[in-house]
Amino acid sequence: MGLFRFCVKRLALLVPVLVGVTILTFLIARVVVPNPARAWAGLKASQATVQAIGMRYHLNDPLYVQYYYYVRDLLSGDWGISPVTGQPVLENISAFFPATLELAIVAIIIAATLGIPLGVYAAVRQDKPVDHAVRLFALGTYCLPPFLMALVMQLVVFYWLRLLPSGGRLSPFIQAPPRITGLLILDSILTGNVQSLGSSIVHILLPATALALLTFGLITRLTRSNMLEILRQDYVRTARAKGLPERVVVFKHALRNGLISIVTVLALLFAWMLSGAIVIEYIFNWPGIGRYAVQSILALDLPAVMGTTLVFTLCVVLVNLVADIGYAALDPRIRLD
Amino acid sequence: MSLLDKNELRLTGRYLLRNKLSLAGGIVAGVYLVLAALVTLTGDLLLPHDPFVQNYAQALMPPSVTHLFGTDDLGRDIFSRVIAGTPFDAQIAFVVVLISLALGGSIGAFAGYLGGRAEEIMMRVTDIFLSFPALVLAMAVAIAIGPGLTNAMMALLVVWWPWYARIGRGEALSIKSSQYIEAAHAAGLSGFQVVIRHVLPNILMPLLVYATLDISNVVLTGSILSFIGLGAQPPTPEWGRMVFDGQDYLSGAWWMSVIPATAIFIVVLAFSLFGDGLRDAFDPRLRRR
Repeated sequence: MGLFRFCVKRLALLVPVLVGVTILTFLIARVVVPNPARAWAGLKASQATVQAIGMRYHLNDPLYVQYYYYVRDLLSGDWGISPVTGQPVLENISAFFPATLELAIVAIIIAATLGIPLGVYAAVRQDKPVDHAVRLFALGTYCLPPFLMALVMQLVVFYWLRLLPSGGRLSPFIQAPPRITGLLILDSILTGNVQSLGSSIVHILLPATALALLTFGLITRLTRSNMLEILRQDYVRTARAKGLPERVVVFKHALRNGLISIVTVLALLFAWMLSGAIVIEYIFNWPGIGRYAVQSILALDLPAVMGTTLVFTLCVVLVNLVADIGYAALDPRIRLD
Repeated sequence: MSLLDKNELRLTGRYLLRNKLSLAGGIVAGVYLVLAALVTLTGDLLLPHDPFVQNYAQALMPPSVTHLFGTDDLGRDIFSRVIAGTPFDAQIAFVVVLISLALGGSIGAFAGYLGGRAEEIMMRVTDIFLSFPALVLAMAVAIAIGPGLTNAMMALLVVWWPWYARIGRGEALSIKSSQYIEAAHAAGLSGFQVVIRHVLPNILMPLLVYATLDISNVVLTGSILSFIGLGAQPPTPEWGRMVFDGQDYLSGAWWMSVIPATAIFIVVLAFSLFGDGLRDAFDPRLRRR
């Protein structure tokens, strides 16, 4: 079967990418750093600790030996121990990861429900004032520094209007639901906890909207240009000629095909969103890996920063894989061999 | 051989003039660059207040006539600090874009022209760099070599050159089989000479257009790097850092963070609009419309 073979092939292509990514992170963590043993042991570590760390990570061996141990440690789940907090990096990352995932999912939903219809609307009214306004707005959000968006929203919605909380995932007096998936909204639903469900939704709205607005421009621009191209095609003309209402032509015939190519930029969107999440989580005090990354940077905690770098990149590589396979599955026209 | 014939240049100029938004972007970007140059040349002479002098009696004052943008927690005038900060982002953007263009563009040109093993290796290496989110890779490099303005530029360079290598390769491929390249070969030039004298000058224009559009990306990513503490260190009046220092005072003194953040936004938007217009102007397909 074509699709199955395509998946296998695509998975095989993952291997050189992962090797390359780990080589690069290895080089940054062990070669670019002026004094790796000290950086991994911590700036305040004693000489004995530094030497122990040097032994532990084989820092005095040739590079290819070091790389072997580096990859072996990564695979066995030893991503180093943060010299600042004294905790294993991977443990911290997996504790913080669900919060980021939840934030990204809600943000994508908000961005898509706003961005796709706006893009379609702009395309249908090409070169009319609405189109120009939408394009300008999209470009504006694309150029927005994430901290500006987050700070203004926090200032207006929290400090001035007192509408939504300024940060965190739950109100301090509310008991969090037992951790099942780590996604608070989902866990609250699964355990039937109405109180924490309400609180977690209220808390996620502001940071998720800030994050959504960052990707919103990209989604709108893409939908618009896709739709412009599709609306000129023969089958759309046929649909119109046979007397279908414009609404059906645009949403049923054109948009369905337009959405397929949005899948292809999912990875780009996701990478963009993760970069935004780093800043937005920090400002909204959202306990995800973005905030963890910034806190680690401010503490000059190299193992933790390298860990988050790897996780962020693996996420993007993975989303890329899913997008490629999804695209192949959705669009019968693309060649699978 | 000229980069563009005069007629082409005139058409491009006319297109830009017609496109008011990108013209406005160009003007704002121009004003910003002039300001940055003035500040670099004259130092703090033209500023209404000294951007470094602390005055606790005047701390956290809201915007007023004497302090146009208010003052920060140490009583420094934010207007003066914002103006004094203009050169930093311009410097980051130009250094990163120009070196990436020269380095990445040449690597791409050689790879595209030579083909074979060299091209294959280059493509795989850029693939690896491009599979990282730009900010995340820059962050990792910057933390490894230590925070600071110069180090932030180095980190951004590591992330930025592969894009130019990609574009340079594509452009080199498209002119590789042109007759003038063949003629240069026939005249006895070595591969190296052909690339330097004939390939590079002819792929420069598309690279430059891309670079103009790219300035806004570098300014944005650079400002995020300095926001998370990897760029210029205090008391340097760098905008991203000012936003970071001001965010703790958001409720009582929003001007401390929101004003420098808005300055970044305006510069990014201006370069983006100008670059967009420039790209459309050089694309004859889009110009006719």
